[in-house]
Amino acid sequence: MTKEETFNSIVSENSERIRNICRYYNSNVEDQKDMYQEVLVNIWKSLDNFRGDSQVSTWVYRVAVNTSLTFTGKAFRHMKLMVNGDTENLNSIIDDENLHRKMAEEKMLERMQVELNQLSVIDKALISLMLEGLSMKDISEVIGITEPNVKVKIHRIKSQLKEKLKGEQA
Amino acid sequence: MTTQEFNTNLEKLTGKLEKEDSNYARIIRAVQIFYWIFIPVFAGITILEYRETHSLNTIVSGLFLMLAFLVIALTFRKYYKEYKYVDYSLPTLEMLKKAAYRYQPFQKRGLWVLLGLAFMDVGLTIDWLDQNTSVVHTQIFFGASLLVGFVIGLVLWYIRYKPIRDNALRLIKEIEE
Repeated sequence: MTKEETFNSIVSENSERIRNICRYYNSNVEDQKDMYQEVLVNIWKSLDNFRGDSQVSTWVYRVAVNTSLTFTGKAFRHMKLMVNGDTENLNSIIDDENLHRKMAEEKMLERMQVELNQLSVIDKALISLMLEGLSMKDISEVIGITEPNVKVKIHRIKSQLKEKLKGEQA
Repeated sequence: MTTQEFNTNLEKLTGKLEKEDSNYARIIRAVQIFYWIFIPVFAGITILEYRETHSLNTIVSGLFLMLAFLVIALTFRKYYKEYKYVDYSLPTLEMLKKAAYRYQPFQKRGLWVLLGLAFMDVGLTIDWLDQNTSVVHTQIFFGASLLVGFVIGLVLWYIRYKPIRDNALRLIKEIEE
């Protein structure tokens, strides 16, 4: 298989994943397109180093997250983590029974959106991967830290978000 | 954004990427031309000069200058490859650590450039001795040129690369906390 064929195959199989990461970080359609292009460029550049040690999807997530951290389209620190009401795993952030019901309310979603955007860049990356449904092991492989470390960090983020949202409820 | 909007024309994009690869290949070829053609040409000039002057200094200075060009050209080739082809598929922490290293102003491998410059200094000093320029004057000229280059490089690093390195270090700290 030529490099071009491998590239086309990886992109066509993972385009939805890349799109999702781009959506998380950009509300603007043009910015999403620019970042999508940049992720593809970086996939191409990194393709020669792909040894098949990890799953292709994990490899693609790495490239996408790393691109989001170095995205030249705009300063990454101003990036916002954009979540939609229909995001499949959104409820996994706040795994509290009472809050689950309230999360259905749009107002709560907006609040959560605001809180998510207060997170640091790395925390945003962790949350975006969690929202994508990646396991703790997969997230640890993408970020390059141990699985227990990922669990601790995500637990801490969840706790902080819960506290803030509960505080606003009170 | 619709799927249609996202549906990039892969053929067009692949063409763009291949162009980028071929640009890289062209630069590498240019560097190869530098040390496969320019250095022998320089060797030829040195031999011709020696036939005129019969001075051993001509040969020695020519050798040192050729060595300097070779070391600097090879170091440049290695640097270029590393900067141009950053691997974005590494785990984030590793990628950031490599970026922080790449953008630090002083690196161990920079010693190769210093070695090249030292060869150039020796070559120029010997060559200019034949033109009655004292060692001290040559050193002052060479040292001043290096200082100017160093200051320009440092200013460029401060403006362009220090912010990148600072960001990388901040993110590393955040991940490792």
